[in-house]
Amino acid sequence: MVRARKTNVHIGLFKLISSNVHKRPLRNVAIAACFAFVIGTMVTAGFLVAGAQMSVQAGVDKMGADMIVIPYAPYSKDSGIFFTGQTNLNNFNGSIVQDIEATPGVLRVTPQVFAAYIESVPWCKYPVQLIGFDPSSDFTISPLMQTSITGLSSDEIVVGQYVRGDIGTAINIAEKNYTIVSRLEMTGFSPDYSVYFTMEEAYNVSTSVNHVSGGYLAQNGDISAVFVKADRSIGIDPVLYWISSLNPGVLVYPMTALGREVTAQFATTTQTLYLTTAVVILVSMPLVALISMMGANERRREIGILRAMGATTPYVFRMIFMEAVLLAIIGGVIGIIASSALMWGLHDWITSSLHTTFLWPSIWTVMAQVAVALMAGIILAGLAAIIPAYRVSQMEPYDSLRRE
Amino acid sequence: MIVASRISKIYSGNGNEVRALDGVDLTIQSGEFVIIIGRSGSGKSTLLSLLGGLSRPTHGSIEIDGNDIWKMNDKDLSKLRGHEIGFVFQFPGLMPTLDVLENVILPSSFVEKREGVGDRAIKLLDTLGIGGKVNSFPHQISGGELKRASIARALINDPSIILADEPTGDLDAETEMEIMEVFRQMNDEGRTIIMVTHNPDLSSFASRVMRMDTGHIRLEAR
Repeated sequence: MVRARKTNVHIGLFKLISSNVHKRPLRNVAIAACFAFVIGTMVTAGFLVAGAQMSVQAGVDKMGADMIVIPYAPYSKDSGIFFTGQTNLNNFNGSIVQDIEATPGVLRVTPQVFAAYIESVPWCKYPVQLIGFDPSSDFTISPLMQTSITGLSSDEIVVGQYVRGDIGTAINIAEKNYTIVSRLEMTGFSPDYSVYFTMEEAYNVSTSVNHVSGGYLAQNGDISAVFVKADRSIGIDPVLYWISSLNPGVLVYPMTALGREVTAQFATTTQTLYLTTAVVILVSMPLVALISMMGANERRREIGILRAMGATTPYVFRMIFMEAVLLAIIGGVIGIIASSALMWGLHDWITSSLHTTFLWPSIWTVMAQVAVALMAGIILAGLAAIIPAYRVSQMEPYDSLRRE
Repeated sequence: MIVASRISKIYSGNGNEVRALDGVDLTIQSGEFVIIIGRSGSGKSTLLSLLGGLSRPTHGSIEIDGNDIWKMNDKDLSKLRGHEIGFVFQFPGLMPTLDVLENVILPSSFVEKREGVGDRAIKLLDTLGIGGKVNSFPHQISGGELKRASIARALINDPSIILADEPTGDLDAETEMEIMEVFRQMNDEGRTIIMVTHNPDLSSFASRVMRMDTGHIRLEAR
């Protein structure tokens, strides 16, 4: 006999809801897909913003500088070269270092020069920026080095995480071999795909590389940026103000502003995602309400029978309402998985196209993003299901039974 | 005992008013087998729905064992339906997403006495001759089997009153007689049966027959 299976069965509300969800695949897949899209889009947008902020914060935290001083130019975004890989076309005269160092509240200064930008090299999958720094005064690159160095000669280099090659091996740049003497820790932004030379060598490299490309050229003595460590007992803002007012033609970025600048690169992407989410919510809300209403209507007779068996009005309301919420949760989980997979798959593309390494947000940030998106989906489902659930639950059982 | 006093049911909409029941008085003693016959639209199904607490009368009152059911709140009325009344409809109305056993057990979800409900359901299905269909889904069994399953479902909470609305309406003659025998057996066990039917030939099963027409009880015979 086939019946020997379950004699202690209890058909609780959740069993009824889950069997309704399970046995009506077509309608429910449509609703779940709707929620998957809404919640997945929200999570993706959240991941992008949080990941960008994480990347910048991680890098800024590791560097000892409080601010970066660059030459003033209209629409200047020159600070970007050190953080986002944007090309700088303006340079200071070398005396600026002493001028800034003499500013009240300045504890330390160190210069850097942007030498060149090279693409399609066999030892890095991203375009690489070549930068000169001063090992004797540096306090920005040195803290990031995995292996500390005592000095740097003209044929030695320090490389970022994405530059291939072991310590002690050489890579060829502009037909000259350079030995890798140290590697930087992962920063989350442009140092990861940068090569650092001495200042003097950077001028040579700039000439060699740009002689071929015919582009930007850093002259001897040029400085692209000065990194500044401020006396925090005075405060960063007063020092920033003094540097700006005492040194005409400079632009001073606090490191926190650089974070915002990098995050702004994601703005278009995230704004598009948020806009898409808003549109999807606006479209899906009435759609989900309509589907819930249709679902409730097509099951009026079932609901009438449930009422005849003793189901109360709140029971029927809960059944319709929770079914919508369950579908939102199922769709949400699918959306979160799909979104995570998408972010994982597009990690390299994001890094390459936005010139910013994308670091995964912390687990707590991820969980918060997921919780917020899931909650938004549940609220959306709940709002969409309230009216159908209320209307159907308030019907007289006999009316439910009579109507198809 | 069921007592209906001057009950009326008026359906209104689009400016029209339809008087489905018009001042019906009715008393049904416990243990009676009452068959209500009449043409379509005579008000017999409406009467049954009012007696079972599925629809509120426009006027009048209905008492079951001395309690006015339409003065009860939703919770108490639902409890009364769950404990004391078993419904059998012309359409079987099994949940398509649950198998036969789960369908039969379902009404027990709304009452407190759930112990041994699975055994009770299997025993009922055995008695009704569909013990081998417990794992089947509604779309996998015949019309007669569906009807038997819906009767088992109506009996699972051991109600004292069975309200049946044309329970044999779409069955062949042989199955109809088998189902009527089941109702007779339920009545023999002491349950009150109130059945609505088109078929006057079934009157022989009843202890009392009422004929309805245009919302009134026109004739009663014992």
